[in-house]
Order: sequence, then structure tokens, then C-alpha cells
Amino acid sequence: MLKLAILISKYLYIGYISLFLIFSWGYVLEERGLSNSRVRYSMHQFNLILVFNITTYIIMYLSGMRSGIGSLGFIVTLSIIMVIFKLLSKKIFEGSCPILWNSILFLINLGVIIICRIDYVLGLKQLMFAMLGLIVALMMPMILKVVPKIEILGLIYLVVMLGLVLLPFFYKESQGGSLNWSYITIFNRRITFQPSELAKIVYIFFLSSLFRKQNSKFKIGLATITSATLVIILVIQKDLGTALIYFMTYITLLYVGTGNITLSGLAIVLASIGSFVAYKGFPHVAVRIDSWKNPLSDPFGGGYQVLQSLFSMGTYGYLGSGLGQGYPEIVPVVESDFIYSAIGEEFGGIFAILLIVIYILIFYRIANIALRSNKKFNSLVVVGIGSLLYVQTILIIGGVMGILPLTGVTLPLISAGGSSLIITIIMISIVQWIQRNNMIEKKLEIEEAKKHREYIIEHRNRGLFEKDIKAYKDVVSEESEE
Amino acid sequence: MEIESKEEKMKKGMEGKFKNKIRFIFIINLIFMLFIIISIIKFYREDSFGLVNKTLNPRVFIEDENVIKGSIYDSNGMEVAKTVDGRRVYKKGIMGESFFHLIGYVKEEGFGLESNYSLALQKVGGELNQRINAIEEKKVYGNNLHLTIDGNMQKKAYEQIVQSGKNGSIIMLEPSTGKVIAMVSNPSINYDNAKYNKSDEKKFLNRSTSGLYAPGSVFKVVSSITIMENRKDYESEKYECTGHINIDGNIIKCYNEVAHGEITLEDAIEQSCNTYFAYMGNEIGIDKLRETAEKLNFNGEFDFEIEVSKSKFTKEEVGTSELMQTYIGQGKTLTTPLNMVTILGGVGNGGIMMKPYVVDYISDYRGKVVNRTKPSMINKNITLEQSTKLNDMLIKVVESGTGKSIKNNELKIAGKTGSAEITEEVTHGWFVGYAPYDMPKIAIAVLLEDSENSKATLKIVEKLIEEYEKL
Ligand SMILES: [Zn+2]
Repeated sequence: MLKLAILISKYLYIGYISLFLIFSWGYVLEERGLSNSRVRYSMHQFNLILVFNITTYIIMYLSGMRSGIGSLGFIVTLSIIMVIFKLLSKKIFEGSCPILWNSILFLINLGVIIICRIDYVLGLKQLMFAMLGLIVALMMPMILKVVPKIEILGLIYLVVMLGLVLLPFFYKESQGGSLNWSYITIFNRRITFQPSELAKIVYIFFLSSLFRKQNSKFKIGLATITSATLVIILVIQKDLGTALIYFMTYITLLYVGTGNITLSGLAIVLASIGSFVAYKGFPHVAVRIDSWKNPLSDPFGGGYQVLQSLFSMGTYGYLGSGLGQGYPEIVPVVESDFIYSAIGEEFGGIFAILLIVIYILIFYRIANIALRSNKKFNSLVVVGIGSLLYVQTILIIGGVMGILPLTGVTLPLISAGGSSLIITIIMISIVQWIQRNNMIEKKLEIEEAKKHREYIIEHRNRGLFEKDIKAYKDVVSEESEE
Repeated sequence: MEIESKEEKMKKGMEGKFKNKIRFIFIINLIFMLFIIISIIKFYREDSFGLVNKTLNPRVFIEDENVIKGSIYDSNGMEVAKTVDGRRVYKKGIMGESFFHLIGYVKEEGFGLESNYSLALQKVGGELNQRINAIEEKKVYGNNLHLTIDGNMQKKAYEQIVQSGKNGSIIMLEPSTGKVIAMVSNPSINYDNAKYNKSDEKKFLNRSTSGLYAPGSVFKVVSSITIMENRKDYESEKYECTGHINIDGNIIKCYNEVAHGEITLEDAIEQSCNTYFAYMGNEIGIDKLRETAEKLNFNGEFDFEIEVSKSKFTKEEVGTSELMQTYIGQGKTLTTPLNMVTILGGVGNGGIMMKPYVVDYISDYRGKVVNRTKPSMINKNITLEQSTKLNDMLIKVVESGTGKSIKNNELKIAGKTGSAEITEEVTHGWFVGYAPYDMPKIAIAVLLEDSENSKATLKIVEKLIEEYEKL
């Protein structure tokens, strides 16, 4: 009976994620005026998250895992957090993109569930981090309002950023061989975190601030030298993945911000030479590359992690083992770096592939917001955030599938880990805040144009301002076309 | 007014360019993501099956008590392994022993098809149907394996090797498809006594796939290909064999120090003349031979359904003595009977080496075929011309050379004998070849450990090919 229920649940999960994507499609068509069905896609889409949780609860309850996700309290708490955030975000971020909110909630929700299934305590922690992140997200508009002129703070960003990435050298907290962890002590409790995660946002603000206006050689030079310094520091801290993410963000913003193709190309060439030198020079880099080329050549050494990850992804095929029926805990660091394998193992290959489509959807919405922004600074920030998350997703999924060399970065919004989760949520809320400002500006523009038109019509009727009317004619006709 | 609108136009143009750059970044990243999706689909379609069944995957050893594992059948539909009351039951007696190494079992030190196909045997075909019915019956049935192995041939091969009283291996396969017809290893063990302990290790070793042996003179086939590639007029080039050769004080002798006189490559293969190959090796060098060997699966992964050892060819520079030794199949070269029969099968098959396989197809509980193995080529690194020339030479080996004891106008066997000196006292006997030589139906490798020369080996070859013809 349980097995039958699990078999059915495999199809249900694939159904939910497919519907989730179909609703997004419907929403986009509606938004573009290509369809007029008046279905409330974004609401249905959000409800799928709740249905997902109910299904999960039933399956977990039946299979007897009642302390973790099988406990009613846990699933209800998770669902309530989702609902409250959904309602508040609608109010606080008026005009923001509901599809983007739904997508990140779907991923956060899925992350909490799969982590909890692997390790109950870790799952509870993740739930707490998610809550914390979402609360900060709701506060972002207030915080950003307080900061004066965020676009001109270039040098301040530089100082903060360097301070952050250098922090681990002074407050060291080595985890998993990487030297990029640090800690702070609050109320006598040691809280460890990754400063390089926090520095991501500052870095994007810094570059956008430099590239926002006519570009001088000085600004491009400053951006390049700073980025190179950051990347080198991260390489020294053995955080290769984050170094690569910073580098790709630099290339992207350099290209979009300045249009300097020569420099972007040159940077890529230099980086390739640099990686080759790293491959030859650093043994820990060489091991990763070799085990990527053929994990079977050293199944208990360098190839161990990727091999175990591929076993996890592949053993139960397209449909997966069913939630709670696989053995993802065999894979090392499955809760963070290899969370994608765990999802592939239990929810199946089709689900895992559709999950990538959700990421594509997120980046599509972010790109859309970047295109709608009037200020260049805002556009650059949004593009920076989008491509940073994009590159990170490609790196880690490619890594755990043995398609790219493994760089230990987190899967955005799903992997266990407070720093990464909270920072990613904040990034998305910044994007949404910019979208909200775009919409407010647009609203104001429309209102102003309306008032203007009324004013002119009124005066024409009185026979006044004959000349002015002629002068404004073009403007009015342009606005009425909008 | 005019100036303003111009400026505005410029501004709009700039904005358009700026937006296009954003679109470009999105599309570039999208392409990367699609590439990842395609790679994942490819992983599920092609790579995952061979990978996840490896015993390195801990999930292989996890058994689901609700699933009745499927059976393993030979090519005649004989049940070699099945599940009865939750326990695996195997053939008894000689038949069981002949299949022991191939079938293996599932345990920590497990091996063979039982381990490598443990997941496949537990995979529930037509799951929804079975699960609904299972509400009453409680159990569901896993998939079945159908082998290319012919149980009768398997048993006969095993009997032959047991009669010879030697340890060793016999493999028979179809060179045109790679279908393995028989694969046995001696000593074997009865499933009833199959309790693994260190002292029994020798019995558990599958000599056909995991035994690494010096190939001896059989390796001269590989050396010949190198000579054909590097000595353009090898057909007419003559060498005077005096029974021994001395280069810088390094001496190589022919068998019993017989002087073969003035010979070409063809005669050298026919008579298995050591000095000819030692001389040629000294002329050509080690690198060219390594190149050929690596094209023929040495130093590379060998893809097979159960565990296979990698054939090894020296990767270092060698001195004159080792160089000459390597050319006659001694030296540090090590190979498996499976690799040698694959190479010689390739020679018989016009240079196309087919990938050997033992699982013909997998069926579900209703007998519906789920997955059928398609014959596939490993490579065609032996050219058609080379294979034709080699075929002529290998025919002569049996007609009038070292294998003439099995000269038989009906069976038309071609192949190469070998006796690999392991120590002064111990010599392994080899024969690897195929029949009939004008249209090979079967390739065979017989290896007998510690058997002085290849006489006993040849007897077995003749007997088994005769039996195969009767099928
Ligand atoms: Zn000779």
C-alpha cells in the first residue's frame, strides 16, 4: 500500500512542477497581452506549493518518518511561513513580479523539505534561516530607503568588500578544507558565516556604481584591479567556485556596462591562462580537474564525490526512488554541495530537469526586470544579481553531474547553509524592490500625463493658450499611444 | 527643437544597444543551461545504466524485501539463477560450477552478474500494474536477465579444462557480434561451498576477465601489426635466424634454439620465431609497439558487464633486453584472456573489434523485452589489409606451423599459439584464434597455467570447436 502511494506520489510531484511551469507560461502570455483568459495564474501557482507540502506530509506520515517532515507541526509551520510571506510581499512590494516570488518560494520550500528528509536538525536550521532571510527581504525596502543614494557609494563599497573577504584571515574558521569561513560572536554565541557570500551583493553594487555613467579609463581600471585582487584572495582561500563566480560577474557587468568587448575578451583569455597555471601549479586544482575528466580512474580518491553523486542521480532513473526511499545520505556533503543529486535520486531525473527550468524561469524574469529599469545603475545591479545566480547554478549542477569540474558552491535557495540562503533571498528582494520602483515610476508618469492632458483640454475649451496647445500636441499624441 | 530630438534619438539608440547587451547575456547563459540539460538527458539515456550497476555503488547491495529478484537464463532458456522463498538458488553440480565466476553473488566481496545486475534484477517492470495487484499478493517481481551464454557449451568447456587438470580459462565468442558463448575459469567452486575466505581466493578469481597473464607468443600478433606499419617491404624483407640473437650482450633464443633460417614475417609467425621479433623490435623501438598495443585496449578501460582487469603495457622507456622481451610477449606486458580473444576476434572479423557482451536482453515479469543489448564496435584500429595478411599467417600457423597438431580441413581453424615463461619452471600455454577462417563464426581463447607448452591447449581448442560446429 505504501509502495503504491509512493509510486503515485512520484507522478504527482512531476505533475506539480510541470503545472508550476505551465502557470508561469500562462502568466507571461497574459502579461504580454497574447492571451486573455483571466485565470489567476500566480495564485494557482502559489497554491501548488501548499499542495506539494500536503502530499509530502502524507507520504512521510505513511512511511513512518514522523519526527521530521512527517510531523504535522513542521509542515504546517513551513506552509504558514510561505503564506505569510506571500501576503506581505504583495503589500510591501507592490508591483513586484509574483512569478519570481513564487519560484523562489518553491525552491526554498523544496530545499527545506529535502534537507529535513536527509537530516532533521539541519532541516529545522534551514527553516529558521529561510524565515530569517524572508523577514530581512520584507525589510529591504525600508533599509534601502534609509541609505542615501546607493548608486554613488563606490569607494565605500570597495572598503567594505575588501574588509569582508579579508575577514577569514583574521577570524579563521576552516570548514571542509576551505579557508573562506569566518565568525562573529553575539551574546557569547559563535556564529560562523561566509563573508564572501555577503560580499557578493556589495561587489555588484560596487561595479554597477562604477559603470553607471560615461566610462573613464580610471573606472574600468579600478574595477579590473579590484576584481583581480578579490579573485586572487578567494583562490588563496581555496574558494575556487566563488572566485569563478566573481570573475564571471565582472565580465558580464564590464560587457553590459561599458560595451568594451576587447577588454572582456582579454580578461577571458588571461583567466584561461591563469586556470591552466593553477592546474599545473596547485595540486588541489589538478586533482579536481583529473577526477572530473574520469571519476572512475580514482574511485576512492579524487573521483569519489562525483562518482557517488552520479550513482545517486542515476540509480533510480527518470522517476526516482520516491521521497524517503533512496539513499542520498551516502553522498558526501549531500545537504549542501550535492543537494541536487539528492533531489535527482528521490524525485527523479524528470523532476531534476524541470527544476533547472524553474531556474531558467527565475533568470528570465530577472532579465525582464533589468530591461524595464530606467536607471542604468538599477539595470546593472539586476543583471549582476541575475548572472551571478545563473553562473552559480550552472557551476554546481554541472559539477555534481560531472559535466564541469567540481567547484564547491551552493545551489541557490536549496542547499543547506544560512549565509548563502539569506544572501540569495536578499538579492532577489533587491531585484523586486527595483521592479517595484519601476512600476511606481511608470504609474507616476502615466498619472502626470493624464493630468497634463486634462489641463490642456480644459484651457483649449476656454480658448486660451492657442500657441502652447500646438507645442504640446506631439507630446500628448505620444502619450495617448502608450 | 531639432537638436534636442537628435540627442534624444541618440539616447534611445544607446538604450537599445544597452538592452541588447542584456538580452545577449541572458541568451548566452541560457545556452549553457540548455547544454547542461542535454547532458543530463544523455546521462540518463546512455551512461547511467553501465555506471550505476558497478559494485562501487553501495545501492547495489541494498535488497528490497518486497521485490522478488528476477531469474538469470542462458540462451536456451535454462534457469541458471532464481529466487525461491526469498533466497537465491543456483544450478548444482558441474553446470553450477561452470557458471560460478560469471554469475557470482551479492555480498560485500560480491562479483559477477549477480552483483553488477543486482539493481536490474530488482527493477520492477510494469510497476503500477504490479503494485495494484500486490495489495493482495504482497510481492512484486523484478526483471530477468537472458544471457548469450549457451549452457551446453559452457558445461563442455568447463569439463575440458577440469579434465586437463590445469588452472586456466576458456572463452568462446562470436567475432561478428561480440556475443560470448562460453566463459569459464578453473578452479571453480560449488555454490553450496561458496563461503569466501582468504585461503580460497584462488578459486574466486575469474581468470577469464580478472586474471592478468603474460601473453607470450600470442602477443606477436600485436608486434606483427607494428612491423607491418613500420617496415613498408616487410613481405620481402628477410632475416636469417640462427636460433639465437645477441644484441649488446642481450641474448634471445628461439624455442629449443632451433635455427629457422632465412625467413619473412609470415614464416616468423608460422614458426613463432623469437629472434625475428627481437631483431625487428630493436629496429623499430618500444614507442611504436606501445602505440599499437594502446589501440588494442592495453592501458585503457575495457568495458564489460562484469569486473575486468586493465591490460598493461609498459609506459616507461626500456633497455635493449626488455625491448626484445616485450616484442615476443614477455617483459612487463600483462593481459586478460578476454582482451586477447577480442583482439584475435577482430582480426578474424576483418579488423573490426566487437565489444564482448554476455547479457542478451532483459525482460520483465510478463516476459516483455525491456532492454536488448545491441552489438557495438570497440574500434577498427586493425585495417582490413592488415587483418587479411594476418589471417593468411594465422592459417599457416595451424596448417604447417606451431599449431599443426589441430590441422583439420573441415574445422578450418586459424590462430596463434603461445607459451609464456613465468619462471624457469612455470610456463603458461595459450591458444587464441577463430574458425572457420574464411568466415569466422567463433573465436576462442584457451589458457592453461603451468602447462609447459601449448599442446594440451590445442587439444581443447579442437574439441570445443568441433562441439560448437555440432550445435
Ligand atoms: Zn627463429
